[in-house]
Amino acid sequence: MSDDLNHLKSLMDDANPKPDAARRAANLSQAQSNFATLQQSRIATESSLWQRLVVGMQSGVGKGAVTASVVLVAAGLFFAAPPEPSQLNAPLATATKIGQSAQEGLVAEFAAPAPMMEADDASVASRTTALHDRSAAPLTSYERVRAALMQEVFPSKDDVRIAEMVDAFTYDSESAKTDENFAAAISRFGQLLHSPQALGRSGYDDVIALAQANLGSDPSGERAEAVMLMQLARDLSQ
Amino acid sequence: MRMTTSDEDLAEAAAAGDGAAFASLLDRHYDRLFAFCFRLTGSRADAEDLTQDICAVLPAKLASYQRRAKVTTWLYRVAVNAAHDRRRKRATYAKATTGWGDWEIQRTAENDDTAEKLDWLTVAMRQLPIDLRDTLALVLDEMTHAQAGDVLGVSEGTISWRMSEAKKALRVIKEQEAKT
Repeated sequence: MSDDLNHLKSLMDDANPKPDAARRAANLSQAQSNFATLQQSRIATESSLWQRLVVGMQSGVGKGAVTASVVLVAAGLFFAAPPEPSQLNAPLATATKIGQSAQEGLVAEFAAPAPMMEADDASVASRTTALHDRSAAPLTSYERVRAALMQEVFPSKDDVRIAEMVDAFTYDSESAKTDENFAAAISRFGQLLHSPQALGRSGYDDVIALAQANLGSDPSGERAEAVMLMQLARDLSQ
Repeated sequence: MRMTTSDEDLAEAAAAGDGAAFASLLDRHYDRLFAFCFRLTGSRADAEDLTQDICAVLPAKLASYQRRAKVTTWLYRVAVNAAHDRRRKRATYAKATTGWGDWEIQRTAENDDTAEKLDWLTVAMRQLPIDLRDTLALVLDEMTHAQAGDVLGVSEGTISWRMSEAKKALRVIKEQEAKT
């Protein structure tokens, strides 16, 4: 590595922050619960397919006479020495077909190879999110925070996404410093919603003062509204 | 006992449905993943959100893990893709932020000495195109050019070329600084 790169690396190493312990724990537990939910839905899908397979066989060939081994042997024979279509009785063909489509379905749903670009990331995220009782509507983090506070409850920590909250505002004040300070106020607001102890005793009062002092011209009133939400959160926290 | 199990064994067990293996794997890699997210985004808040995104999709992503890949390579690939998604999403509603560093670095750097160092890092990273930033984030994380190529889905040669572009760009930034 060249000197420039070494320099950059040491700066980067110095700058590297430690992950927030509370969010670390929350993220790990969310991942584990998503994992468990996915496993459950996978087992449920597998067993319902199996039931369909067995029911299909039973109704065609004779109730109670079919076991798993019969299905496997039948499928094995079918693949080893495919009989003429005319030799096949209908239920066996159906069973084999169900077996195949069941397997294909599972492969498509759970083992879809996605080695690189994954356009489905968003849909996977939203599907997993939906499994967790969160609104499927595409609300931004700030909108969810607002909706919760307007109902006088704290937003769930999963909904508090600091960078997204900061992004929810427009920054075109005459003074860049005003924008920067307002963004900082929103960021601290997010931190407070995450872990009320994070900013010490003064907490909300400081954040509210910082936001109020940096409203700028606020043509849409969005900053004033944010201050109102901060006040609601402060009142809730008392 | 889990500590002595290899990453790859844990990932394979997790892909087969072992929840404890999944938890153990994620716990083992979380801090490094977070640090990588910081290198990709340059902002603590973004790194926190990005790590959260990754944790949410990781269970579903396990299906794409293949034994022949190193777990870190796979994990970083998921991270790079999640970062791309985030940038795309942000582009739709965030005009004020430029990516690396943003407002946060300056704000958190309260003492002047750190501020100066961070300024240089921020200036340098911001001036690089996203491809070069991603490449640097990987190489500065001790990845070889071949491993970085694996993560980004490009050849080793492309990584080497990008690194030489990044070095050139850094030199130019330094020279400009020396003049002012």
